[in-house]
Formats: sequence, structure tokens, C-alpha cells
Amino acid sequence: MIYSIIPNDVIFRDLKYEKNYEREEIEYKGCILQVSSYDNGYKIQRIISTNPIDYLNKEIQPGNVIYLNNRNKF
Amino acid sequence: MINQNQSDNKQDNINESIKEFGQIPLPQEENKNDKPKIHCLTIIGQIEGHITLPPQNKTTKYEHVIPQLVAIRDNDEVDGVLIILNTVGGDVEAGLAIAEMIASLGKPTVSLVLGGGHSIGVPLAVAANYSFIASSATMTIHPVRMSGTVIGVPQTFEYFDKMQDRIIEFISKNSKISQKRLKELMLDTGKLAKDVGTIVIGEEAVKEKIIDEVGGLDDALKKLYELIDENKKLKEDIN
Repeated sequence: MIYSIIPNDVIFRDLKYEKNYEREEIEYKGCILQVSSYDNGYKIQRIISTNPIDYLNKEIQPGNVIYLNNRNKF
Repeated sequence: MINQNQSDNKQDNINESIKEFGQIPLPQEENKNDKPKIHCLTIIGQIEGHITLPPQNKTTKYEHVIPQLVAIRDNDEVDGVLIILNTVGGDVEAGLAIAEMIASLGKPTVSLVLGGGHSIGVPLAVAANYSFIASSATMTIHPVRMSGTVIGVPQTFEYFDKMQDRIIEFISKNSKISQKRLKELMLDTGKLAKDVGTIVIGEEAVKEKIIDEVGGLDDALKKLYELIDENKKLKEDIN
């Protein structure tokens, strides 16, 4: 049951044509990152952590692209 | 002697930096170990529960937050949690689950409502030991709505009433507002243009005794450090 000020039909609106919203979650250096595919790597969209230090880490700033050797997508 | 050497080295480094780059390095934070370590939980967008929401919604997922709270509780290095809220509401069960986790964390918690803490955001805000609201932030208190197929029998009404009671009970238990007053705010017909309910802004939320104080980030952090100090003293006294 949803208890929100946003009407249910807006929440569940179907936007299939919007590919920009596709997100994946990966674990990178002990941190959960929400990423989108970019090139052969991942573009960081959001950091999911409660540790404030993680948000100061230059390497995982949102917008940065990271390449993971062991799980190349293509 | 070692200390003398260390401070000499430090001065050398500073001099080197001035000579090479023409810059004075920023002072490093000292006594880092003495400062209490806090973690920050941001609850934004929709609270996502048992149904994955379409991806255009920005969501806070319970499968992320609940293990994070367990880790915080279990990690001795974390002394307290700051909870930042900017949410439009979401799943009742997930919201109440996270709120119960915060309320029973056993470590000092301070919440700060920025922008909005609507619907199920209200129990989340009051779950902390102490709550702040920015003077421009708003909270909407409204009844639980019906959607989808609704069977027109009295039982449906009773079911919604029960759901509402769970929310009201939690809020009144964790803040100073009475159940009666909260229900009045929730069922007010004169405040919202197309809906039943009330919007409380900053100071009003404090007047209605839902939130403890109007303030910002600095106030919230100062309060959190204060609570951590009290908590430490209490533990030392017991030992």
C-alpha cells in the first residue's frame, strides 16, 4: 500500500520509451553504486552508502566512468 | 624526541609545498580519533517497498536501508546517525519498517527534514531521538488513499482505518503530538485544495509538536554530537 502525496497513477506511469532511466547496481570497493552502462564500463549515477567519507572519494563521484576487468559487459 | 622529529618533518613539508607550488597546504584535522564518527542516512524520493517502482521514480529501497542500519548498530566505530529526509512518501510497510529500525537503533539519532517529509516521511522523521525541520520544509499529513480495485464493503473502510491507525500510533508514540490532534490534522478539509489533510511548514510542525526544533545542518550535527556525548557518559557511569 502506497502512502504518498504523489498520485498512484503518476508513480506507476509506464515510461517504456525512456531508456535513460535504466540503472544497475554494482559493488565497487565495498560500496554499493547505482550505475548506467557507458562505453565498456559503468557511469556512476548514485552512491548508496551511509558513510559520509564515501561521498568525498574522487574515484566514485557521480558522473565518473569506471571499468571493471572481471565483469566486462560486452 | 620522536614528536620533535615529526613536527620538524611536518614543517619541512609545509616549507617544501610553499617553495614548489607557492601554496600553503590546508591544515590537517588533528585528533581524528577523538571525534565521534557519524554516519548519514539519506532518505529521498519514494520509499520503495514490496513492489519495484517504474524507474522514473527516485527511490529509497528498504533492501539497502535495513542492512545499512544493522551494520551501523553492529559497528562499534559508528557513534551516531544523522538522517536526512526529503521524501514524498511511499510504501506504508517499508516506511514503518525503516522507522521502527531507526527508533530501536540504540545509538543516538537525529533527523533533519529538508524540502519535504510527506506522508510516510512523518513517521520516519519522528523516529529519531531528536528531530529538526528546515524553516522552508513542509510535511503533508493526509489520509491513506484507495486505489485499484476497491470492494465497496465496510471491511474495506475498516482495513484502511487500521492502516491509518498504525501510522498515527507510531507518530504519537515517537513525538509529542496527541493521537487526537494528529487525526484532526489528517482529516482537515479546509487546508488542501483537492484533498483532505494538512500541510505544516517548518515552524508549524514544531508548534504542532511533531518535530522538536526548527534548524539546519549545523544545528542537527551539534545536537547529534551532544547526544553522543551524553550516551558515552551514560555508558561510563554504568561501567
